[in-house]
Amino acid sequence: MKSPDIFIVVAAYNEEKRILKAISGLQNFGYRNVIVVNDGSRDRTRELALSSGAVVLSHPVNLGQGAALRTGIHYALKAGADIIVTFDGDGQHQASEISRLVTPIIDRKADAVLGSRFIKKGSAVNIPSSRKFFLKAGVIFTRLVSRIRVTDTHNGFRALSRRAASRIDIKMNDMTHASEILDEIHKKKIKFVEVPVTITYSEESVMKGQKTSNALRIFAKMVNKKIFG
Amino acid sequence: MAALFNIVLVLIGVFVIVFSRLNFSWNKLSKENFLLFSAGGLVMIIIGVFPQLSFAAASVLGIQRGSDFLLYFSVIVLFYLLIRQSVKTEQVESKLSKLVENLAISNPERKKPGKEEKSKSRQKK
Repeated sequence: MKSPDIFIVVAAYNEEKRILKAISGLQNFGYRNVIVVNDGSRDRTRELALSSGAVVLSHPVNLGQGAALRTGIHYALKAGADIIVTFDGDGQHQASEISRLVTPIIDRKADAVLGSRFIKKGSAVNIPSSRKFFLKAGVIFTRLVSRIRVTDTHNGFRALSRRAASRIDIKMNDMTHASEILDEIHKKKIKFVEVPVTITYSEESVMKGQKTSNALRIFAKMVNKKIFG
Repeated sequence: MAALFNIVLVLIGVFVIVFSRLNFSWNKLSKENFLLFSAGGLVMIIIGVFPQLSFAAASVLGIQRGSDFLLYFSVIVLFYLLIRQSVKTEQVESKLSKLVENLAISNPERKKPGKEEKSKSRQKK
């Protein structure tokens, strides 16, 4: 039986310091189909990603991580991907854990596999306490709004089968897409499982990553989407 | 004092009409918006010249003062314009996202193999 074509989609915005390490990490584990979506970076992210051998799709303007993932997923589907893994370009995710994410899809146990840092065997290294508080609050909020029972709502490390990726419609350009994906999974009854993953926070990733103040904006946007569609 | 307010209202009304007319002729404003802003300017001029009209409108609507009527009316118009603008912005953002996505997908970049890589692949063959 032919092994599935796994495509890794990396959304990157001003990641010149971290992108090479992230791509080489993926390549070291044998992942050849690495798609970097350069989301309007003003630094050398595009050049460095190209030099590492990844396919680079460039947004001429910065739209946000949701838009970058949408572009990457649509490209991967066109290129014939069987499984699409979304992976952060800032070194928070471990390439060694991709096999754990794709296994339930290969075994046909699920169409969406969501990484979780909060379930047993998962971990969040150096997570700031304020971030942890808002992530936990996000879990409760998601259970109320999207009515999906997950332990980690804003984890960008996930794997989607071709079927799931074709059905999930990401409309939100910004970080709200993470909640939107869960909403879509629940609404379209896509079979999902959570698997433990390690998320490593560095000083840079905390500085650059999602601001705690964004939590309220995401909350407002999701409520707005629920009410007005 | 009231007369001064009326003069200011007329001047603002004239300014709105002239400003929107100029922008319309420079193709910076759509015909629809030009008519909308001109109508707003005209209402200002009419109320500035005939302030008793705002008193009449206020008493019909059960509002005590003509100036209060003007204030409420302005807030309602501005709120409507804000909603219209937000919808338009969302539409433009959505179209821009689609355009950017299509542009990115139709121009994938990949490093061209160097001389060494080319010769390696030839040897393999």
